[in-house]
Amino acid sequence: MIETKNLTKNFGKVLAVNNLNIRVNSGEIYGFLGPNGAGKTTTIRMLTGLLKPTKGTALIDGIDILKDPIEAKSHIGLIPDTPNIYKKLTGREFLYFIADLYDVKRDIAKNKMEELFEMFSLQDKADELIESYSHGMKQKIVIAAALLHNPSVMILDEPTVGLDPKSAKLVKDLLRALADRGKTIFMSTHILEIAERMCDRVGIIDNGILIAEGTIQELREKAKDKTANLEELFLELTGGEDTKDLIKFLGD
Amino acid sequence: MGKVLILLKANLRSSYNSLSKKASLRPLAVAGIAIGGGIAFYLITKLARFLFGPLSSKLSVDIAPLTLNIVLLATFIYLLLSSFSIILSTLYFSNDTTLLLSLPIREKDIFLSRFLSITLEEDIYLFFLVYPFFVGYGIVHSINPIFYIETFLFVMLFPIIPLVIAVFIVLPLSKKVSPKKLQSIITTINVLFSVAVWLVTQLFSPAYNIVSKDTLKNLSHFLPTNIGVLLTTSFSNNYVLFATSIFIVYLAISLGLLYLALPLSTRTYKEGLGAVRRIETVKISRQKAEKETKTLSFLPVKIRAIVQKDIKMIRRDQTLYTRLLPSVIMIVFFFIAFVFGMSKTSSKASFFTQAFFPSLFFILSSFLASDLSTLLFYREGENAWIIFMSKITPQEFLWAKFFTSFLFSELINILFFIILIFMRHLSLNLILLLLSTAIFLPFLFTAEGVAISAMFPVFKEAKNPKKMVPVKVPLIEMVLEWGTMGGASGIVFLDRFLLHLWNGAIAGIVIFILLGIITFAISFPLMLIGTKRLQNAEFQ
Repeated sequence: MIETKNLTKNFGKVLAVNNLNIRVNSGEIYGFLGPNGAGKTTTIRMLTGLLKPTKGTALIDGIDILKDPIEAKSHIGLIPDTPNIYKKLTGREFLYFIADLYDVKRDIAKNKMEELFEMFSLQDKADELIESYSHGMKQKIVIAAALLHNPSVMILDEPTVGLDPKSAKLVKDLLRALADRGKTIFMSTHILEIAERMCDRVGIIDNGILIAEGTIQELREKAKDKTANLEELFLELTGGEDTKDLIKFLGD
Repeated sequence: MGKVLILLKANLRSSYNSLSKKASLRPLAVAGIAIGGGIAFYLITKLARFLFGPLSSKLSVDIAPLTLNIVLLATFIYLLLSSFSIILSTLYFSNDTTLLLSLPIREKDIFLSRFLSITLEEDIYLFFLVYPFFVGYGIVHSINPIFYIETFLFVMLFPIIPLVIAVFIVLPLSKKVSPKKLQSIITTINVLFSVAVWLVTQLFSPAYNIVSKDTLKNLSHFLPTNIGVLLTTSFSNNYVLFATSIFIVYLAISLGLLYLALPLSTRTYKEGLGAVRRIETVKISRQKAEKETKTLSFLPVKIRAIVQKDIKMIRRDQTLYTRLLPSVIMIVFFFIAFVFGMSKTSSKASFFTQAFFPSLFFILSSFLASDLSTLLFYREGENAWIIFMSKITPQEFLWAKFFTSFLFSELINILFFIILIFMRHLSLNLILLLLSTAIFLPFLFTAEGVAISAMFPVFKEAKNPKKMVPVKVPLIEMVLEWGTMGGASGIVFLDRFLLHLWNGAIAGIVIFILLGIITFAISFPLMLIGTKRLQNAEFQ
């Protein structure tokens, strides 16, 4: 379970996230949407303890990320937007490293690692240095690392970027399966089609403020447009003038 | 030329912006550099005036030509040695190279803009550190104002020849050799060249009396850097036209060499870039990977994980090992040279040769440990999110960084210590004294390196590991370490004093305990401050 209480972050005079209050229950996939610079990544970094909130806090499975960060972090599996990992380690060495950092027993880690390599079709690459991996492979190894310690909360920032369609499908299925097993999934994405099809609920953030939250059906009702898809709702809520400008620009 | 200037301007703007994140602080940073440089300029000018004026009169010999020759030669050697890696990293490993090559700009223009950018950056140092020697000479001899202009231009053009030499070697090699090998070749060349320079200086050392003073003086006339001396002395003899002709010849040689490098850059740059960017597939067997995870089993699991990872990084990351390897080789080489030199002069063995100089080697390896700890800390770069997301505490993380660097330095020191014990018949007092410096100094220096780094936890990515470290960190470390070195020297001398009061063994034990207490009294609070700072760090 994830819960934020008046979560706020200022960068100097810039208010990146303003009094964010959300709750994501166990077994739920929550889509966190918003235009570029809306505050999605800042929120994720606060949820994972990488950034300190200016005000408010976040609870991970009831544990305050500010008061007991180590315990809270042990419940989280993070998949960031860019797979920055140690290029001079092999995939296997990297996963052993992660297993040690999360106190995963060696034999458990070993077995789980093999399953993950097989699941992500990385068996042939497991013993090669990560520097020779493609972007998609790096993303897969990051996902594998996030799953290694069996976290109860998965936080994902654009998880399918850089993945081929087969791997993207695998990740989507995986997230659904994890949610069905009671895991909490918090996912930021730009791909509205994914959010629409996968998420139980979505929250839309703009300029650091949560402007809408609910199931797609609830958002449609709020917008009084029963046939609108998520893209239309999103553009309506966050302002779709850019598209008109683009058409005008191309026309000119 | 227009495109070259656009690129050059962008390079310089980027260097200026990297002085500080905050735009308002950048002019202050420039002012700081100007003030620091100005002080250095003033002091060196004063030194030069003393050397070329009162001292030359006192010795009844004009030491200016030899001094200028030595300064220029040392600068030339330094520039040449650093040029190889600068050329390689600037031309091939810059992040914007791929983008630039996709733009309608000729390779020649990209090459030239980068070359000029490096030259200008080197010029800043040369202006503050080398030009004052000419200014001092000009003031002493009250020379024509044209002297200052021509010598200024001479100094500003000085980096071109060593850089072109590096270009002629690096560019063709980059087509054929992988980046890892090329970096290793450059490191090897640098080390061998430094050792060769040291051996040559030994030939001229009065201690060996191999080459006479007159021969040395005659030889200095044939050094390529003598052109600067000739230019200077011609002015002092009022041969302005002759001096200007020399300058024009020098200008023609420098620009001519640069001109010759341009077609080479067109032919090889893009092709070489492909070879440099090529990533070799390196396989590490599963058995080996699993075996390596079982090493250092006495350490707590999370600390061990970081240490094992860092050791692999040192072995596999050429930017790390090429930075460390030359220093290690040099320290070991000079230590061996010292030990053998010492055995030759055993009859004259003094306190300095028995205790002070060996301690100096322990201090040097401790400096290395401090440098390594800082590098390993900041080398986490954009991967630091993995650490800060995991269950490892900031305290465990810092002690892991500490352990790797301490282990590295301690291995060198123990090796040196054993060699000293076997090579020399040391008293118990000296053994204890050397043992205490060999153990505690790396501990103290490493703790300083790790703690200071943790106080400024900024993690960013850069091809050059030096650029990952905030500018203030090495400065603070240097001040602390020189203070520590002063304190350590004081303790070595205290031992001399204690020997008058007690017998050698007791004095040695007292020193051992004292140094131990000082080490822990400084290290642990520093590590604690570092931990607190790291706890409050943010990863952006």
